[in-house]
Amino acid sequence: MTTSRPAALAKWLGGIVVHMILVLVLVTIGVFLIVRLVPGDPAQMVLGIKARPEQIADIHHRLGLDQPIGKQFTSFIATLLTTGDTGQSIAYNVSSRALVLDRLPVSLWLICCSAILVVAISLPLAMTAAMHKGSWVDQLVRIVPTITLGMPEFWVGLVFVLLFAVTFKIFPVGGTQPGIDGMLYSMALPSLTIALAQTPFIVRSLRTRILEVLGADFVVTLHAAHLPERVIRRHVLRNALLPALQLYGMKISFLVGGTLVVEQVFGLKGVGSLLFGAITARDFPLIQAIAIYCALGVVLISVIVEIAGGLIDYRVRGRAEHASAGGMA
Amino acid sequence: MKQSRLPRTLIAGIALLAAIVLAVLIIPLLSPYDPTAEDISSMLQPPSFAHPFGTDQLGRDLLVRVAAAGRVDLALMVGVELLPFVIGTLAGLIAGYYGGWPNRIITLFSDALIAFPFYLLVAVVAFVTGTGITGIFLTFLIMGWIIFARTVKGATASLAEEEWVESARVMGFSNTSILLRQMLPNVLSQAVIVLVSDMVALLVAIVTLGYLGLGVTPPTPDWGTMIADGQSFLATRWWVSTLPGAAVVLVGIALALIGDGLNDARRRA
Amino acid sequence: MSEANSNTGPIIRVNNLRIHASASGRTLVDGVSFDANPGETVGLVGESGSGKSLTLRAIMGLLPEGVDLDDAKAIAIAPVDAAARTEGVPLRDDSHNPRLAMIFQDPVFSLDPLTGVVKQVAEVLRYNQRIPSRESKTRAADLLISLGLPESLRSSDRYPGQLSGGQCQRVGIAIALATKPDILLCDEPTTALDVTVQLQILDLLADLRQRLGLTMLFVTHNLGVAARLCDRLMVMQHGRIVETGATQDILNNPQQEYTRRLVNAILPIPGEQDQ
Repeated sequence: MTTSRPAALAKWLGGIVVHMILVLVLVTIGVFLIVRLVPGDPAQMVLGIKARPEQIADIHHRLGLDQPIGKQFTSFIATLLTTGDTGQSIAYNVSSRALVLDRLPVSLWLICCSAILVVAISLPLAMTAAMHKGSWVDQLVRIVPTITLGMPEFWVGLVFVLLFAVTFKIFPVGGTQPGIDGMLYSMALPSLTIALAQTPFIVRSLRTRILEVLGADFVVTLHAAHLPERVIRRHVLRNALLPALQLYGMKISFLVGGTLVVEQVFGLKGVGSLLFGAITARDFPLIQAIAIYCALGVVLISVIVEIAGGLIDYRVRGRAEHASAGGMA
Repeated sequence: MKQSRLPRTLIAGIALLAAIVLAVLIIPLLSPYDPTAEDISSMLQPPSFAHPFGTDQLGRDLLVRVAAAGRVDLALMVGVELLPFVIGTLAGLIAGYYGGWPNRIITLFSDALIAFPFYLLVAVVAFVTGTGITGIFLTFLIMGWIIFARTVKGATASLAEEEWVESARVMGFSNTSILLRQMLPNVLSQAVIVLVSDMVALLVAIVTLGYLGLGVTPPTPDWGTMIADGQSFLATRWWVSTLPGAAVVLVGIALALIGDGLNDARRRA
Repeated sequence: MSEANSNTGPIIRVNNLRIHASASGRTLVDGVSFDANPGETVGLVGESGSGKSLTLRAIMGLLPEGVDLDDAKAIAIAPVDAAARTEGVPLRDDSHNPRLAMIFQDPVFSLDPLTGVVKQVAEVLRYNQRIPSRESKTRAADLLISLGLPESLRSSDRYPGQLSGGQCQRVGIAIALATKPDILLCDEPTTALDVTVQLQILDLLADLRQRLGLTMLFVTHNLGVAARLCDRLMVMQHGRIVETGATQDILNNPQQEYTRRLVNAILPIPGEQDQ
């Protein structure tokens, strides 16, 4: 068993990477096909019905749409791999990649603040709920998701603005302010909005995990060894956290998706506002860039979470091997 | 005797949903106002006896508009979900029962789709299919089946391992008959529970698309566009944005209660 | 029970113990009564579902969820003379009864998978005895090595998943000993192990019993294992004690048909013939 461990580890890592690459390839093909699937001529959609034929031909040429589809695909992939770009943005007439990278920091700030907030709220709540089954905290944790399930994130954002920015004037209505403190101040309401949408489900599933761990054999050992409650709690939390981390990794695309929409509410100049602007302008090279970068980000985060979990806990590696074997077989 | 064993959450959810549907159907019939009739003389009025929900920036009565938008959005929610539900359930049955390449395709597709943030995907598909009701319909037809396929696939695969399936085959039942007569009734309850919670997500998505200007297009009333309309007056005219949103939340609560109740009922059975 | 007779009378007294399932109300342990004297090893044997493990859990005060004790007063643990305890490290007071320890059936799963084993033992030392945290690590490693784990633990800690089942059971025993018990409750501690490892663990337990003067309650479905360690046996079936007596008497002359079946089911343990 000891001798085969490095091999098993390599196999496990390899499986994750291969799966990630497959997913990314599929994503890229999908993004490439989107433009070609649009009913009608994409150039026509950009320019409107009054466009002159030479204008349309110009766009066709600029985007390479006058080439055969196989050629289009290879040059799309080649450009993407060498420069990380998907072509010039039609609306801005600059590199789409540059536009995305320019807007990325604000979105990353928002994602990070929200993620930290979600964890900071979820952990103590789930722990309290699981340790004191049936208490008011437990009841709350079970009822709140029912109420928040149907809350559109953008509407929650508006209500927060109304409450905390307009009525009580604690936080700014929108936009970003300079400096790290200014950034944190601007991120408070948007990240709270996203956290409110995400937290209830995280808490609910974390609570279930903690209850599972509480029923595990080793907890009986800890009790039998007369350890104080707070020490036992620490062991339980560490064991419950790993599966929860995995779950959180899977939910990361919801976090990113929420960010895109909530940026609109608070007038944050991030990738979200870029995306919805690009859709209105039918700026498909830009849409392609945003889609690919978002998917890449989500896939990378979930892979990091998966690997981190597996390195800390040998049991995850075993489970992942089973899962990917099942998926590939 | 079965009646008394229904979970309380299920009863509460159904009652709430029935009340909402009833209100949405009746209010436009009883109200003296037309949901699209503009009246500049009574713009942005706060809630009052004449206008219980107040009026919007064009002087339209918000109560009747919220109800009219409810008709549109709820009908969309149900109508849009039907086809993906049927397609996804059948695909999941096939993939779970036969395994092999149908299973592989569904796994890969769902993994690739999960890599996209939901609203990014919705926005991109809406870009392809165009805005408006057709766009919404196509968007969720493309994406909606996957969640059902995944759920049903898992449930079917674990059922297919059970002994009675093998004995049914030995007894000469055809695969189709085993799938539809034996498997389907067993996995349907799980699919329906997913359906209920997915409908909430769908409603929120429809409303969000409306808010972003990618969904239901004016003049058709829709909760999302109504909330977007009110955003510019949020500081002084709170009711324009918050009340349509509250309607969404209420539907969400009703469906979540039904989902929880169905789950409880299934676990008890 | 009064303090006065604590040195002479039984250390564990179980009187009409009843346990039932909370949901269905079904009786799981039905009026079990027995005593165990200080330094004695008493075996509880029977098929699975006979209620022997539940009886042990009830004595430990750690019944699983969904199971209830009819009357907590059915179990009495006599105080021992604290001065008579070996060595001078004072125990920390705890709400649990500090004089009982337990080892479990599945040694791997009964350890926290994400904590190093030295750390786990050190933690128990620290919270049960007044040992400073730095010293506790060395002491834990000492204890583990004295129980037959490799010297290398001193330099690098191991996770339970990196140890064999037998090694994990030794860690489990170390954790139990770290609480300075007077009574050691053993819940099928060898069932999940290979036969040769079973023997090693049984020998280790026998050795510890002698050195530390432990009173032991030993639950097993395997009469052969019980015979090796126990002075006295109680045979359980359907939540009741159906037969009790000295180990040799029961083995040589079982009274009940059920006991006879258990005796006949004994498989020879390799190495047994040397005894």
